[in-house]
Amino acid sequence: MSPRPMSPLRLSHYTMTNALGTGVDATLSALSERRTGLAPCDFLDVALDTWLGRVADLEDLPVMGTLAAYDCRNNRLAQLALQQDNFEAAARAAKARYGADRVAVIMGTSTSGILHTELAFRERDPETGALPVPLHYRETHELSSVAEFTRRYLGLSGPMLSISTACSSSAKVFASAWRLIEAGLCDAAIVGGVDSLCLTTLYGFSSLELVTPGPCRPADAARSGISIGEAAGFALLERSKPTDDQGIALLGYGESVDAHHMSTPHPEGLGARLAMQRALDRAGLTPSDIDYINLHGTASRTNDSAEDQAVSGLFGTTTPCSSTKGWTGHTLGAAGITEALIGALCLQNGFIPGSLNTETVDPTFTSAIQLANRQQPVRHVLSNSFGFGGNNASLILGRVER
Amino acid sequence: MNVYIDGIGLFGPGLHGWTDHIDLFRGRQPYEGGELPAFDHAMLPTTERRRAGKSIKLAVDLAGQAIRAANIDPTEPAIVFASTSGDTEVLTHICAALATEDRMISPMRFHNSVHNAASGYWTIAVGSRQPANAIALHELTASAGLLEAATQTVTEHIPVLLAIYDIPFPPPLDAAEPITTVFGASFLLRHERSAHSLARLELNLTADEATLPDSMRDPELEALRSGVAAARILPLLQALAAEKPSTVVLDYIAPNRLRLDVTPLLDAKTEARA
Repeated sequence: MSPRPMSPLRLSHYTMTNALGTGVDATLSALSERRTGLAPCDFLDVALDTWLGRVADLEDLPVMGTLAAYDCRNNRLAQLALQQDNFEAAARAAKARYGADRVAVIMGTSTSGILHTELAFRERDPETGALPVPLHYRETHELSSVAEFTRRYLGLSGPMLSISTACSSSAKVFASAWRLIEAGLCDAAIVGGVDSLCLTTLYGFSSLELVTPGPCRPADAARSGISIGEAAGFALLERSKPTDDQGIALLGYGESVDAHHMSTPHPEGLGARLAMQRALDRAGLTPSDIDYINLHGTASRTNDSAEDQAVSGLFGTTTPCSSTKGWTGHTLGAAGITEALIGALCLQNGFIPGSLNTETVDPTFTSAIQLANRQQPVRHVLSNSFGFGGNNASLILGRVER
Repeated sequence: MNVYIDGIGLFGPGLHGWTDHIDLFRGRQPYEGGELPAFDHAMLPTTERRRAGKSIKLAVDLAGQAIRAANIDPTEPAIVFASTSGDTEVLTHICAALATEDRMISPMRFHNSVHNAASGYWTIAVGSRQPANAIALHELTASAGLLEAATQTVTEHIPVLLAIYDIPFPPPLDAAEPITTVFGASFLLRHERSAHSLARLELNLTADEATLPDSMRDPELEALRSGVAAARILPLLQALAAEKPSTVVLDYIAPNRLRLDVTPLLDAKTEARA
């Protein structure tokens, strides 16, 4: 059964912080200037041959005051992102407009603040094996830690949820926000995604031989794996009103799973294609309505080829598409919202980014991978996010025009 | 918001399956705990069965129970799996390994560490490509899971398989985050009544201070409820076991609580009375 068309949700405010810098303008200018945020790994004492998309200065920006128990790299990144682009003022205005308990907070994260626990294990009591006390597990590492931090930081008491479906986490927050608003449990939602560097993902992806030594090269014939990044993004979602003037709206979402393998995508991208088709159905759009596809495009051998087959199978061979992971790295649980918001920048500024670091597109690929940036009007963007467990989510954003 | 419950699953110390334990929840016998039952995860293909950890086996067991009780094709419902910390044993192993000299972690343990590992295994087992969510909200995980599943079935008109489950942390993390035992419950939710519907559930958020959260009448079940985040769902099971309509209140984000008006649908007469 196809999903029913949905009512759009307005992205009335948004912000993003990643290796390209703090705030939306840092990402926009790096995209325009084709300047990467990736650099050789200098994170803690990690001796892996890889490049990272690391956010600068988090070490010097602790969470303090009444929320000090939440202090950890993941919540520092959330705090830094919330402080950009007047996002806090927009959240305050929504709280005043609807009431604190009518604004939801829905966050996506893959590993939450696991780094805090990883480092605590280095401090175990040599006799008893006990961890340092207090550990503040709940405030730093439990999967809703960053959701609770965000909710408290913004002074909200609406419905709250933490979604952790690996690398699709913060794409799925948009779907859950739509459902909560549609069901009448809230009037607006702060959605976000935060994932920060940690040993688990660095050594874990290395153990799967999925990490490349240099900067990642999405869709390249010679691609050899991902570059891990960290990022935070937030958006305020509200019902679209007929009186809205120009702006950006969520028009559709599609979720699916592969039912194939835990860490390898379905070779023909069947689950990915299903997620994209469901997003189109909800938006009431056809493939030819999409002007740009922001690919999941991790630069792993299997992801990029499966996604290429899914995209060209559904959209044909002419819809412009690219991955922006050459700029930010793969920001895992934050990738969904980071790339949806890059899609919003494309809509607002009329451009399509060409894949950075990609020199020669894999000759077996049939989708229209863009290598150079293009200036052109963009009405509808589709953004893909796929994760372990074969978990897929696609979002469609569009310009609202009167 | 109204949803219908078509199938129920249950797992805990001395607890396996819903229909065998209804009398316990009706207060006709005391809860005496007991050993953890063996997991029924035969639905997993051989490779996945070998690779699955405890929380995956628990979730698969629970999902299978609700699917069979609801008599539904397992590829039909969307999936919401709710657990505060997921596979606590895998997380502990990984954190311990990363504090050693060589920092080697196994690829299998790494992909089993994602919160949606259980839904990944389940969907591979049954061949489902429906949406699958994996959520957490610490001690409010059960309420949050129920709300996510209910809003999905109500707004998208798709049946939803909800499993709520937790397993304890091994040392040393058990001291920082105590989870007293293994517990889980599962439900198959629909937006409209079917021939298999066991109850209608009306969900509302209420900030009424007089509406106090429910506890369990049986002291041992109350100890279970307060010791495991997933077991905060027990008062709903108590109401579902009753033969008369009742109201259950679960904690949610203060000042709001989650109010559940439960109407058993044992027969047409009960429905008419409600």
